[in-house]
Amino acid sequence: MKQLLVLSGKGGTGKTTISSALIDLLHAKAYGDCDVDAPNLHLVVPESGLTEKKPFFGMDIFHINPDKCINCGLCLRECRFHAIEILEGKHHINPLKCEGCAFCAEICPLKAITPIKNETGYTQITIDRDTLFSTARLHIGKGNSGLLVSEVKKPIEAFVDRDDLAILDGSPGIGCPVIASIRGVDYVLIVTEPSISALHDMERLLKTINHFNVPCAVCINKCDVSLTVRDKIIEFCKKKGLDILGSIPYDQRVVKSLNTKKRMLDIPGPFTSAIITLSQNIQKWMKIV
Amino acid sequence: MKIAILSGKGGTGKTFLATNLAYVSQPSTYIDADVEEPNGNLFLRPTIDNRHQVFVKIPEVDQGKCGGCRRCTEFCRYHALAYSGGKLIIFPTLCHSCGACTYLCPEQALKEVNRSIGYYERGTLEKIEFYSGVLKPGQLSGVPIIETLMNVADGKNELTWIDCPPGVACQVISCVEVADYCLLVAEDSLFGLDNLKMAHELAKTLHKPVGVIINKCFDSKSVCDAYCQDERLKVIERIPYDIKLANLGAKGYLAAKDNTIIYQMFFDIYYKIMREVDHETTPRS
Amino acid sequence: MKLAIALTTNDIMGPIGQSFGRSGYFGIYDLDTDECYYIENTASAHHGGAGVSASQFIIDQDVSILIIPRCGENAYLVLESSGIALFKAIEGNGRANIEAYKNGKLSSLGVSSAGAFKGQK
Repeated sequence: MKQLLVLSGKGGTGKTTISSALIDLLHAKAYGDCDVDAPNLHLVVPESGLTEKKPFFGMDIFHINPDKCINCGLCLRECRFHAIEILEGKHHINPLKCEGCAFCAEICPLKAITPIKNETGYTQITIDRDTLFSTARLHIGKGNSGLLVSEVKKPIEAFVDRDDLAILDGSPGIGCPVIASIRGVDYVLIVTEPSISALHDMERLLKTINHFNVPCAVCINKCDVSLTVRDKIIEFCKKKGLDILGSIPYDQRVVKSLNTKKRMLDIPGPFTSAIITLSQNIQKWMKIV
Repeated sequence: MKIAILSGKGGTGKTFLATNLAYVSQPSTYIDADVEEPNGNLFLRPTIDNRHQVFVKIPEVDQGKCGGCRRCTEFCRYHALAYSGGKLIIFPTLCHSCGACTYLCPEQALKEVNRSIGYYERGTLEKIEFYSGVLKPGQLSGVPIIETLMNVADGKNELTWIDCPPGVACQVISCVEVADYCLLVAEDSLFGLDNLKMAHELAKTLHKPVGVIINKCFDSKSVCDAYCQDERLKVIERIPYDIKLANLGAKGYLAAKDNTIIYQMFFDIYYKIMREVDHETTPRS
Repeated sequence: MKLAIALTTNDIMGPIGQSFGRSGYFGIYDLDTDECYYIENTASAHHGGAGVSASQFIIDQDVSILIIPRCGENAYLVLESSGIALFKAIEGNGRANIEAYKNGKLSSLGVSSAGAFKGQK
């Protein structure tokens, strides 16, 4: 299996748009959305197939049994996450703030604090003919989870064969979900845009990627929004030894076609030609036949 | 008055909007809470006055006192400790700083020490008080930096703009929690709409009044319209997609600073926001 | 002498576990008796620190050799002090790797993290 992960650093550069085009052109056998905080890929991939949705449980959080609690306040004193509050005279754990460390449960003299399951999101797999789409979503207010990202990748890893291609649409930033998505992938494509913000963010992302020893290349999306900044990006990539596998021009019609759920690759023009060139370069880079 | 600017989706124009709004509404405070990828400084280019490391408490072991009982390795819910080859190994990037291991060690071989996960800085541009947080690459969570920012930036200005990170997870919650009002910046696209719904749900969960700005609009109608109407969400402004504005933003220009027409545009938006904020946050008797 | 090998399922004829910390099972193989039993990798369900907890788990199994496709920084830090010899898995199932080890065909594993091992299901 060859796994390609699409990242960006900065949000909004076009990861999902580009990922969906590559999934289409490269006939990915499996694909997934690792942006479990704000998933978007499901909006632009085919909707047919059999779907299975499962709840996802984060770390257990803790609950104070009001009948056993004597309000000694020891838990409130020790809780580092300000998760314990007094409501109507009783000690209570705020489920949005509890990080499941179990310290309170350990020190409660009456053993009034016990773990409870915490449903923090869901995973969803759709199988259509012989392709698999894996996605997930965190419920609002729940902590972000590297494990949920790993759960998105698991069914993909189980589904594909030796020479198959899997494409993962990543998340913005450089924190835990990005780190969890990078583990185990074979190639990372950074989709950037010609803005100072995106260049700055790409530099920080590279520091994170470099921990992992994964081959990495770049695609410049909306490349004609600023030619001066585009040139800065080209210079940066040259300095870092990063290949630029595609430069995609901005095309309003593409956004409009996405909004109406039409296949954007059906629109002839420089956008489509550039995406096709990108996909061909990726094929060569990843040694896909 | 603290206004959190969030979007769910990245790249909707939060920072471009937030920095220009901070500029036209001087004296004001601007906080860049996107500690993983901060960009506010690129637009505002403030003079930085000071920088402070942000620390979390991580246990440190005295191997001489450690008897290898493994109480800590077995207790830790984050698996941030391991015992191998006769010594205790601690993993600072996995540690959540709960303090349990240090408390529970029967030999008192553990002691908590400060470890920097990044920093925040304070600066000025004209009458804007600027704050920004920066997370060290490799660190898993920027929440402690954001919480620090929300505490220290409680400064002299009446108006504070909080430029939130993308998404709707814990980092964003730390920003929205302290805000009086949430300004949702939606992109006029299917992605933008989907994430607007999530951002809206977050604001509702935290019981915050909400208003919307739809950015990068192509027509007079937006894909977000139906949702905003159904939810009775106030659309404060629709900003049309403008290649010139996009270009200025791409180059990191503080557009309102050197262009009177753009200054006026942002001032009008600021005025509309404040009118709506006053309306939403004034207690009704 | 016993070795541990990361597996996806509890079957030595099945695929190797792709990520050490999140492998479904470990096969514990006795090189003297040719017997093998399987243990479920409890670390795979952990929300964080799976590499660390899987390493601690392996140390507690009393094995001298571990065969895995790759090793993250955290797991490596734990394993290198343990005295357990680390070997890099090759393409093929669990049995193929054990045979390769017996024939001295496996190379030792240093810290890498991702992408080092390609092609296995």
